[in-house]
Amino acid sequence: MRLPATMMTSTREQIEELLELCWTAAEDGLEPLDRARLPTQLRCFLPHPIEPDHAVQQDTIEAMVQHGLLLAEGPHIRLSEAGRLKAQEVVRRHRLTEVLLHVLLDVSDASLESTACQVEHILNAEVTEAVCLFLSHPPSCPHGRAIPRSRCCQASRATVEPLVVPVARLPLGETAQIVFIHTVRHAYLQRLSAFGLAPGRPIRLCQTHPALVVRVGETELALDDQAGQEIFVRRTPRLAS
Amino acid sequence: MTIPATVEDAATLIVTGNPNVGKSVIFQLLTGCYATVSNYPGTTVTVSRSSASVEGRTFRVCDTPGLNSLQVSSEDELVARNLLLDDHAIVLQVADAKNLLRALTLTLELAEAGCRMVLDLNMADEARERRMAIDLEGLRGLLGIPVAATIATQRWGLERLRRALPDACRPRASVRYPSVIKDAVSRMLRVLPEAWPARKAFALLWLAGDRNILEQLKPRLDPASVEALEAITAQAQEQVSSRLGRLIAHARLREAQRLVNRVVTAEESAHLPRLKPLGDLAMHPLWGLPILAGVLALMYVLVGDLAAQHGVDFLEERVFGHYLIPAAQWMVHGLVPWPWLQALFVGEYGLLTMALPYAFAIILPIVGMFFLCFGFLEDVGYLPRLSVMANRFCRLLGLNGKAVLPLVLGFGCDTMATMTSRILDSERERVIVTLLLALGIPCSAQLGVIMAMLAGRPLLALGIWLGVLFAVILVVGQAASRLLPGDASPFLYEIPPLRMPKASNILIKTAGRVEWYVKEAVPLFFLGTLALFLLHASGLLAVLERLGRPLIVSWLGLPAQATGAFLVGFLRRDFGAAGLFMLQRNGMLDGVQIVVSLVTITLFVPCIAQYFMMVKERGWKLANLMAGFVFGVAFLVGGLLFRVLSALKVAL
Repeated sequence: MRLPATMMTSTREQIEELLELCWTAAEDGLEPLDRARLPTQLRCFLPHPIEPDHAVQQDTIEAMVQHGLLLAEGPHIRLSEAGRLKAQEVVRRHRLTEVLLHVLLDVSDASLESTACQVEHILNAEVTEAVCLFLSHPPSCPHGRAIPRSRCCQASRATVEPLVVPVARLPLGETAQIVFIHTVRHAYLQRLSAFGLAPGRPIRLCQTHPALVVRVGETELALDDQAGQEIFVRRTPRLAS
Repeated sequence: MTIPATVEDAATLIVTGNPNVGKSVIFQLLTGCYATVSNYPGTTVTVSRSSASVEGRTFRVCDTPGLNSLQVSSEDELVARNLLLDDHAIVLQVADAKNLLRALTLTLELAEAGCRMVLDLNMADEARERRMAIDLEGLRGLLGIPVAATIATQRWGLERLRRALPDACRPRASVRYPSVIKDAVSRMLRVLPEAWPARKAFALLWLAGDRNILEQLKPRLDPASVEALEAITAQAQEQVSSRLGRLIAHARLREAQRLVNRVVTAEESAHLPRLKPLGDLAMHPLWGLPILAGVLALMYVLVGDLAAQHGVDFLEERVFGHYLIPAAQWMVHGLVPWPWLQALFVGEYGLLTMALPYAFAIILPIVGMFFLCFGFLEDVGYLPRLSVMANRFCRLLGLNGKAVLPLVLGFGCDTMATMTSRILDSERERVIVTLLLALGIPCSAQLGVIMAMLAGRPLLALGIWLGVLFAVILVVGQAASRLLPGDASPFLYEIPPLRMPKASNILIKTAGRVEWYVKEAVPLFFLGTLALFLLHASGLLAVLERLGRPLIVSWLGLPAQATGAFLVGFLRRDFGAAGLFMLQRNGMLDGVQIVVSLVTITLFVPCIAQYFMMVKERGWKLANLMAGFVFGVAFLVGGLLFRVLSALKVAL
């Protein structure tokens, strides 16, 4: 669902922030919200501050009510069904971004927030889905709030198995593609590439005990346990038909 | 440039390639000169040289240890690399046809080194078995060098390979490096002296941070150039977040992959070789152990029982005892009038009555059978699977699974195994392996005699002997790994596929090893016997026995006659063991004494040949230190064991 084109981009961000706010409030059982006291509530609920311009906000709320995103009952507002769907997308984008930054890039909490609430407005559906797949459909954000599910999560059987894993965590006998090798043992890494073990190549886990044995092309290599944690592979997502 | 322009000027042919692709077989076929061939990476650890006549021209041919890259990590690879970079030779790269990607990665590197070369895709049968088709003509076109296909073990394609050798030339193919590498290399080429042949290879190795190349090049360059090269490297590294070595390796791999994609067509349904399941079972966490137990049991039956019992009985009692020795005695008594000279040949310490039966009746059948079994295991490709099984145990000794190879080879011959320690990645590991080989790994000859002595005893005796050795190895390995600086280097070892062994290769290899044994050990047996004879005749032996009394009799609880066995043990440990064997046969050792003497002689000083190999590989100081340490440990453990066993009144 797209927002009406008549809404300007600057207000689109405000709308999305408000949708996110209403969603978060609903999660905490605080619906309906008092439209007159929104600014304080925004600061309370949202982990990041938004424009505390009261007049602008009342305009935005008015527009959202007109477009059927919010239901107004006197001073109280709550999400309509259409608004709920829209809010779900925004919240999903925001929280997925948080996981991406937090888990994979180890970004500090402060920049996590500010970046996530910028990125959430620019991700399109395809990228969001790719991020979700890459992170293997995480159930919650770093703050512990649930990430709304989407079709891609429901379609995937492997909801609890991450897509990118250290090679030692592959099921025995499975072939996956090497995505990166994360190591401080540079000399070792370069020797591995002389055996043809490098990003982009398929690798098969043969056994993990008593030593790790992998197969790359026609080469069978015995490696130490640490290497099993350093070589990251991307599993082929197995979608349910 | 000083490289000769045509093949005529150069007469050296270097056989190189990835490990375990059959370089030594090709070397044998080209030169007709024997080289040990096995199915595991690391069979060849030194350069063998011979000559070959190809198309009416004579080449000096060098067989070299295998390499995966010019960027090397172990000593054997370093030797091969230096030969490739320094010599203006023709290079014959032997490749595993089914593993073309790795071969071509090396080809591209050799091209950067400016080598004139021929590529041979060996083991073409294994590629065919896996339904891989390789477009040789296409590969020739892409690389711009002669490409041949062979099945060396069947001599298939050898003639075409020979004919291709004179056409060796520099490969056309080159790697497309990222611009940061390309720029750095061209700037470095302006600094490196024009006269150097493999300048581009040197530059790339320098950029990749190869330790050895830095050490090698720095003394050959003026300080200003070194500074310039270092600055270029640092600048290049600043521009990218990834290590330069990584960028280089990946660019090469991509280029090789591109070549492979153009010439190899593989059928979708990958066809697994027949022996694959067995190969997997041999290192399976569960099934690997029964298989190992089965292999050991079979070897015990063949070596410890068939050869050491029946073979020795037959040769020692029948052949020597009934025929040869009486005949020798009769002849010597008839021909030599002086009793003292008679004693030299047929006395208690006679050359014909002691040295000859020791060498040929006791040791030879045992080592012969052991070499046969070992050759079989080597050819099948079982040994590398042991390194997977034993990786964890090796970690306790401060080593990794790769060290299993020299340690297991030690059961064949500790001297050769000491040399094989070159395949290990750090000096620390080489030192630990050298020490353990000198201390606690009995060689086949000694092992056979020990098995023969324990065969008639209760199983507990074998258990105690094994347990004490195991404990000593564990304690000393642990201590060494803690005392020596550094950490265990990361484990990385290639597991070759199991292969059907070739009877002819096993037999030739066994014959070669037996011949080597006769040449190396037998003279020492005569020398030792002669020394004992002289000591005995001059009365010095009695003096030594008296001097050794506190050690041999009081401390170890052995009869004084055992002194002689320990004396010759300085020459060879198996000689010493054979001396104990004779004492046992003559009923001079009881159960406890057998176990104590065996533990002591097993741990006893390395044999002369091994000692000199230790000196060669590790230096005088370390070799002497180790020999002294081993001597001390042997007597300490032997004496303690005697006291414990006597105190517990163990019946053995």
